[in-house]
Amino acid sequence: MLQVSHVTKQYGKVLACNDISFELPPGTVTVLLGPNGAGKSTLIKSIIGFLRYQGEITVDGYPNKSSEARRLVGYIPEIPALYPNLTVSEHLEFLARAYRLTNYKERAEALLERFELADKKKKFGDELSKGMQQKLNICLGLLPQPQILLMDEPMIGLDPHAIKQVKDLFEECARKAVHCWSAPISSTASICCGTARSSCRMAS
Amino acid sequence: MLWDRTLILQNGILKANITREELDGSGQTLEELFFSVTEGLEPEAAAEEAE
Repeated sequence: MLQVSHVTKQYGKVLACNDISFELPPGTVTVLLGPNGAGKSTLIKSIIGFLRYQGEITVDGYPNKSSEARRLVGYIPEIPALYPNLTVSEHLEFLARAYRLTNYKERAEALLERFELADKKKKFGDELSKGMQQKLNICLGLLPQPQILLMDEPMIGLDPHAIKQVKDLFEECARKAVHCWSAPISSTASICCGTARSSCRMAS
Repeated sequence: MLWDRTLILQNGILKANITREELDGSGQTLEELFFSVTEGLEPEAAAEEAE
């Protein structure tokens, strides 16, 4: 489903990703772990097609920057990328148009309801709290029901209740697609493995 | 358990690519694997570090 072959990305003299290869089959959940500066976000941005790199990345056999591949991949960035002049509803509509989604409204409503944003539909992006922005960010990533969902530290800025909401939703849809979730070990240990053991120490 | 596979990166290098079954078979926890990979600890020391 997702094939990464000999990907190398350099920022000036800094080698952010060095000859990375792996393959993720359909219906699997992968956690991408590493200390700060390990190259997790660079790798995800390379897969999504935001960066130039050496090597090859294919999605279901298509080059990752092709339109065919882009329709299959969803991305939840670490920092919410919202438009200050669009409302919550308009963000969802904008994304639906970009992905050429039809009959998306029911799903959008369900996502907003689930993440307790249903009463914020007319709020602008910059009127939302940081946590709400991240929730909307997650709704936008999930709306197209991508075959591959890349999440770059999606829990940042969320309160424990919202983290549980994301975890529950993630569990429901995890086996229907390829999910790749980057995280520092601390949050992954508590979220994916059901234990918060050593999380404070590991975060340091 | 939510995950099937873990990739551990450090300094831009893919240090580990392991399935949950392989990890279970090794007797290590994910935390222990993480420390052993990123800090070069032996499995026993990594277990203590994770405690």
